[in-house]
Amino acid sequence: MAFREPVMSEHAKKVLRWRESFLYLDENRFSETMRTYLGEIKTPYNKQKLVESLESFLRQKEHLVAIKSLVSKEELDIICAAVFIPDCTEDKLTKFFENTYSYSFLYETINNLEDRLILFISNIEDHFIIEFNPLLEDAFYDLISVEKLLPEIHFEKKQAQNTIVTAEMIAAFCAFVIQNPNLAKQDRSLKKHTIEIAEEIFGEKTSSLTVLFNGFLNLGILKDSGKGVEFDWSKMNKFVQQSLAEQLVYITVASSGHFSRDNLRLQAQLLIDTLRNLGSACFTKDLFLRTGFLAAARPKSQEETRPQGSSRFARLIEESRLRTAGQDVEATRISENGGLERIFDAAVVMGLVSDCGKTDSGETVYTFENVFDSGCTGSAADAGSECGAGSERNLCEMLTVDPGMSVNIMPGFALKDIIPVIKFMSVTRYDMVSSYSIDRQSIMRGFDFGLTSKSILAVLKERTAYPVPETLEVQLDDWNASYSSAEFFKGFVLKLDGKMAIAAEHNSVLAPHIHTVIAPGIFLLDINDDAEAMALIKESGLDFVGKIKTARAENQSTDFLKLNLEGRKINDRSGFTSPTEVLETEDAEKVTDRMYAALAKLKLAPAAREGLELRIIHKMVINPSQLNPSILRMERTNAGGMDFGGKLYIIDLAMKSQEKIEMKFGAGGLTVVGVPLNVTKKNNEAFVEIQLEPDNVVREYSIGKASSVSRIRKGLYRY
Amino acid sequence: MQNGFTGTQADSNSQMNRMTNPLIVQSDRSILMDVHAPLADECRNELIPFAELERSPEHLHTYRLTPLSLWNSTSAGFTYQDAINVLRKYSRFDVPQSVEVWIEETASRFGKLRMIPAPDEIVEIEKKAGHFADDVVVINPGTQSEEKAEEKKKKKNTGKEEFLLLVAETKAIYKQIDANVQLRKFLTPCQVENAFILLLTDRGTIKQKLIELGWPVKDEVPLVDGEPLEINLRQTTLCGNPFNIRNYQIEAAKSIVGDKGPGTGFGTIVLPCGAGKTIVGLTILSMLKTSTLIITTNITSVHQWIDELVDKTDIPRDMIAEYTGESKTIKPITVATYQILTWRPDKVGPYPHFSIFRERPWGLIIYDEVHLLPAPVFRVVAELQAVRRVGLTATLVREDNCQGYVFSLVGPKRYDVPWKELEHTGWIAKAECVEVRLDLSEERELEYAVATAREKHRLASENPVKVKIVSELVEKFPEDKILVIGQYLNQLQEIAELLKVPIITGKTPNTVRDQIYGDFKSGKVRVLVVSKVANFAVDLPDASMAIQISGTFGSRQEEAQRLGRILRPKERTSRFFTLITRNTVEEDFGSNRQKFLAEQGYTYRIIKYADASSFDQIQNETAICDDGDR
Repeated sequence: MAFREPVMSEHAKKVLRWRESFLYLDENRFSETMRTYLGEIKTPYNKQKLVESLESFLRQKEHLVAIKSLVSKEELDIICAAVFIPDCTEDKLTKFFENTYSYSFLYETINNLEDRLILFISNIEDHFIIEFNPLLEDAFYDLISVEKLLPEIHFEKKQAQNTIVTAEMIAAFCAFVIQNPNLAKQDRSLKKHTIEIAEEIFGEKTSSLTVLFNGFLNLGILKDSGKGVEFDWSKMNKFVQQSLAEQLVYITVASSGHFSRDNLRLQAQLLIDTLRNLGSACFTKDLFLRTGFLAAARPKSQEETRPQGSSRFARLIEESRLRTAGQDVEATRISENGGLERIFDAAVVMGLVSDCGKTDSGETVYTFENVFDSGCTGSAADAGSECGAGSERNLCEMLTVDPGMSVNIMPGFALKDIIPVIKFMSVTRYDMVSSYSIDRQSIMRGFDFGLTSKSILAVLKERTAYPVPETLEVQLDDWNASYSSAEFFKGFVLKLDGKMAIAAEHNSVLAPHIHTVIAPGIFLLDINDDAEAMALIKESGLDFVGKIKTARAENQSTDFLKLNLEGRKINDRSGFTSPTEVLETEDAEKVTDRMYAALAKLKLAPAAREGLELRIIHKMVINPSQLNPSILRMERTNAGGMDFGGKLYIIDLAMKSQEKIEMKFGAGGLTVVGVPLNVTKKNNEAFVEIQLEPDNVVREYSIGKASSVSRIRKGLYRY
Repeated sequence: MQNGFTGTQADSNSQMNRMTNPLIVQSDRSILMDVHAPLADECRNELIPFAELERSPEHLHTYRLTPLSLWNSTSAGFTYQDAINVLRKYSRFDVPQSVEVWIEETASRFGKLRMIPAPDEIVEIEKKAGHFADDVVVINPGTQSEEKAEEKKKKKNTGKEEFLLLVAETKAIYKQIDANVQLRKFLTPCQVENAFILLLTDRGTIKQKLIELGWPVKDEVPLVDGEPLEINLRQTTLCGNPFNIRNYQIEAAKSIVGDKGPGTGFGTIVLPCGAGKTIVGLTILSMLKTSTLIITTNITSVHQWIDELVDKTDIPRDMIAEYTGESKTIKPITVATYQILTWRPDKVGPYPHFSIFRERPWGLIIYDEVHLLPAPVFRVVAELQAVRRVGLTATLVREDNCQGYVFSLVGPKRYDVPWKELEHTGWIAKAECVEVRLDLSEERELEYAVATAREKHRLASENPVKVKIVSELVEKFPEDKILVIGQYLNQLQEIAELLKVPIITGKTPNTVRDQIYGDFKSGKVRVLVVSKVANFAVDLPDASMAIQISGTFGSRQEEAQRLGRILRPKERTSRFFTLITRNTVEEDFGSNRQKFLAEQGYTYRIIKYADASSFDQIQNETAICDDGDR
């Protein structure tokens, strides 16, 4: 009978990691932690036993209640983030709370939460991860939820304008580009003249053009032709096969930067996940970014994470490269190319999210225009929540053509159905119904795309319920007849030099197959395929002609990767899903008051009292038994003003312990945070070199001029 | 926080029902109406009070919401909510919120500025306070110091200047107007709270400028009734024919006359050529019974107006006068030309014939073909805001885009019927437009290739093949009365000589013109060659075919007016042939010219001319129709 290894629960694994985390601490920190919570410890000590004792201490209900009671709202935010951001690191937290908390506050709070045994640093495959203490999970169960990180916004809601970019808008943009290929400057911004023309056609939607333009360029659907831009119709044909929602998402994401195919899919999926998770709730930009962060950081199945676009070998190398560099693959992709913030800005312009009010603090509040549900075309035809109506319309209801050769395109049709029409029309006005005109120039452009008068008529007739005006039919024939801008040859070209050319022209086998003499010695042959060509050459006796040379075929455009429009939930892990409890400040006060009362009863030297009081302030005392002066290690943490020696001392201490300092210059002036690296003396003045957070830039500051220097206490757990 | 994973499904049935609604309201405030939708007719009637019909091609008619259209409807008691309700009721998709907000904001502006007669005591106080300087009468820059002096002299003689008050509802509006530099020249603050005092003669100018500023004026100053005149329409015309006024003509007249109270008595009527605009004018005249000044385009039209007055009203001939280059008499009904009004002895001097406007206490001024109202006349029209006035036109298109001035000075569009609607009801002739495409000869092609743009147009227009085609058409359609209309006199002369038919140009004396028109009407002459003098107001009841051999570049209104020459009701289908030289600029000009008519729902049939047999099909169709008629 085979022995089956017992399956360990996720919780048990976490507890093991928590225990192990103490083993990574240096002796000093380890003993200090133990002393803080367990009192005096005897040396030599058994680490394992001490950790077990600490575990017992923590499991006591009164301690759990006290720890929980002392947690502030801000601290709870950080705890929730540590729970819900997978493989949470300090960097991730910094990015997540970028617009909410200052770096120094965040850094100090994380360290304090470590000191209070609420967070710990685990080592997973040489990655240092911030985790929530599993021993506290039950106690915090009703307090932790993803909603804490994504709070509801309170504001006066106004009706959001439906400004979403529709299939008709994209089509009108395409027509506009065809009409004005030279529409942009070198830096890809639209020319002033272009904007003036566009404003007459698109009105207030002109702002979307830049996003559409950059989106199409980065998707490779538009390309530089030397005389402006031109469409890669092969790619366009693939693009229009997507649903409108996918089209909008791809354009939005691509407009924010150039991505590899896989990365484009990941970013596009991230946008969908983010919006889906926000759902019908209103949100600020900050909330969007947080949701996006959580969506990006959520654990993924193997299927999701496996890149789909590149070769397996290339993928392996890429994944390996990132891992070697100690980076999370997903996080790297998100932080690349400007990230979610630019995508959000583009989403606003594209109308995927629209402005619906302002918070009391003046922050703009947005709502998500749901175009992801099936059948929604995004057009005015779907106004309100009427998705689905547009998709049921007959193609023959798409347009009307009047004898003045103006064409109106009705809303509610898919891009793939509109694109064939815009190739030979000029857009005159984009609105709910888009207006186009047909004239000689537009038709000539259509002919340039390979259309004929017959195919143009067929496209129109298929899309209108009324007869196409006779005028147009006759006009098309006339224009077709006068169209002679170029001749396209399709077939086999035989190129021969001098005498050989004459020989070929008189060759009885070859001569009947010469369709046109393009130039002296260059013949267009009416042959169907390679085999026939080779057979003919062989039969003609022109054995000096080698094998057939063909122009290098352009790569076939690849399909756009499918997106999951359902979105993926970010909060389906950890078991913390429904917050039922709220923080009561009174509970915290009760605990603190109790500790202060206990401290007051003790007879202590002022320095010891101050030291213990500091621990209460830092919420590290949850039991009066911890108020033991013998466990204190007296430290000075700040100095300021004229106390040059004090400032220097603080910097020196921080340098030794590799802790960070905060330097302030003047009231309300510059404040810098970072690790001091070196102190130098120049012209009777001392300078400290600091590696600044969060950019790691090294700068030099005058110690004398600093109004205050404070050590930011680092946690007991070093990593 | 609700999430997006549980999207709500809409009730698609109600949406599908809405999809059959006729209206599509656009964010630029244009309204498209699908004429094939089941509720289209009902919707049109409800839309007309507050939206202007802009285009009426075959499938989608375009209406537009303008401040003027809204203010006119508001003045008629139509609220902004009524307008929004109509849009919502018939709209296929949601009405853009911005449009609803705009309707509410714009309509609510009406009535916040009122124009009322100034009480004498206020005028006295202001005069004593010295608020009226002598130069308060504003004359357009660069014009007519003599005219100004004359005006002052007249006022001095009559000893009476009339004043009005412009009263703002709130201080904010008052201050906004007071801050406008252009208006300050005309308006003087007075002792009445939030009010300005102004000269009666500045009434039109101020209203026009305030409309430009987005502030409509509720004009509560009654219009003057003018000198009474006993005039009635006849039951039977002088010629002995029964005379019945058509419903739309009565409706059009009523839209101007109204209840004769404030807000009525001025406006523009847009009716297709041949729909009987003159009759509408006569009806208005008979309703108001007041001395009337009629201004029209040329002497022939003057004579036709006079003939109609004599034929269809009981006014004695001796009470009607002609004020033209040939005769300058003024009587209770006077018919003048724009040409004589804008004549002046030198380029910078005053217009001496403007005095006609003040010679009599006119109770009504009719501006015929109002789209041709010459710019210098605008100023006089602006001054004559106390007189009832009506503009008549078929094509409210001005190539100088000044149609806005016409609306604000003569009055807004009060009545408009799509051309095709009158064609369906038989009030205008059924017309078929045919574009004949012909080639340029090889020699001319070379000449054309190296010509300048202007020469190209002329070369294409004077394509000699056109003369041949005209000749063939005249031969192939012997039953038709044919007008050959063109731009270039040499070409017209050549055709006239070839066909041995009369020609009318600008140089033809009026007596000769009238004689030729008479012959054409009587059938003595079947084909008439005319230059652009026949573009307007030429009453040719029996013309059934027009052949346009050349035109003024891309003029849309010229095309429409020329078609109008054959639209008078008749039993046979009228045909309007346009000859266009293929692959030349004439094609582009031609397509621009056709825009107005295309917007009115006319379609052009294209014939590629090869030889005379190219017209066989049309000839056969005509023969079948004629047989059917018999």
